[in-house]
Amino acid sequence: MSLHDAGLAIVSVMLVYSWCVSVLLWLAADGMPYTYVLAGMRAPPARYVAFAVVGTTIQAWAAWSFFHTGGWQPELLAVFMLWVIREVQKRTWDADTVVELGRYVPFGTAVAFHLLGRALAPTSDPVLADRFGWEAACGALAMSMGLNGITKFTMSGLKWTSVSGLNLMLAERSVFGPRPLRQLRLLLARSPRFTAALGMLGVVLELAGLLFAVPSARLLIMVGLVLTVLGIEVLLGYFEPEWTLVYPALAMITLA
Amino acid sequence: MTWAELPQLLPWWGSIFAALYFVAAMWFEDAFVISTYRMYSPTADRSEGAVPTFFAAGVEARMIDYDRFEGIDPTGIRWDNFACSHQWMVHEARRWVEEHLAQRPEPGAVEVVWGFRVFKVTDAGEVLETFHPMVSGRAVRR
Repeated sequence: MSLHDAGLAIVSVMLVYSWCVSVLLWLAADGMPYTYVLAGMRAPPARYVAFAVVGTTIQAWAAWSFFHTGGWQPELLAVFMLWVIREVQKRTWDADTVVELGRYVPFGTAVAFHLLGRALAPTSDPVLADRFGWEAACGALAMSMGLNGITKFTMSGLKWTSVSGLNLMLAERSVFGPRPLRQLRLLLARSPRFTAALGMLGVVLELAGLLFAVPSARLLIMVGLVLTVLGIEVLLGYFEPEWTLVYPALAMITLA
Repeated sequence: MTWAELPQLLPWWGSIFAALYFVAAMWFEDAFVISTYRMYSPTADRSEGAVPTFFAAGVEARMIDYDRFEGIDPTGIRWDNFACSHQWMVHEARRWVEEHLAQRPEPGAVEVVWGFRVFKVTDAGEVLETFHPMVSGRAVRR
């Protein structure tokens, strides 16, 4: 398997993963699934289970077919399925609560922009058009990460690097997770100078994420972004396999 | 630029779509596959951080291990003026109580309190913590 195909395989698998996570959050909506506790989940009605099974089958087929044929139809179907489950999820909560619950779909973003970039590609060569599509996906994901940094600056200025920024978040998260992690977070929360530097580094890396759109800078930026996401997972406790894998997958596809 | 030269746009295609994403995000803010990712950004603009916490019989516990709540108004489960970066926990806690209210006084119910552990970090790096109860009542362990 080539590096390109490996990247494509990650995209395909994660499209199914993303669907499954959303389905689980919906099926367990009467419990506390966003807090990763399924203990309160009741047995869902049969029609819900049927929807989940049929939907998962369709999504798996779409992802498999996309991986093997590269066709736009199964890719569009996969994006459509992610949209469907998001709409279903939204109905289980009031108004825009799903946004506050923080469920993002980076692989959905990647393939949606791949479709758009390929459709608008200034070439009739399908292979070249596909490359244009993946470049568009990289651009969208570059701006996704860049916006994290931009929004921090526009909403809070440089406060992110003060004790009210990262220190406070670390202190809050010192009450969750395995004991060694909790101790590490508390230790870092008590080190304002270190966390000021870490906070600044994080914002700089998020802003540097914009360069993921530039092919010549992509590999280096991808390494920085993966480290950023892993740092967020360890220090702040957000377990995000989709964000962890989307940048390496796109880099593998476009740089192979 | 002629049509034949257009493939030279390839290295710039990502930047063009990054700009397109930016415009779409500013326009739609949060729509499917687009987001401004503003969720955690305001959390830096605060002096305290509130973490939802549940106590049963005076001991910190998981709320999901309790049901048949009595004497608790679920609408009191909100972050109010507290700066909370765990909003999903507040949403889930409120709905859990809403959907698991007691129909009548339950034997075996214990005193429960839901509120915020409020953290503050001084410039010297000292971590201060207080507890602010928001709602209290009784509930039964499941």
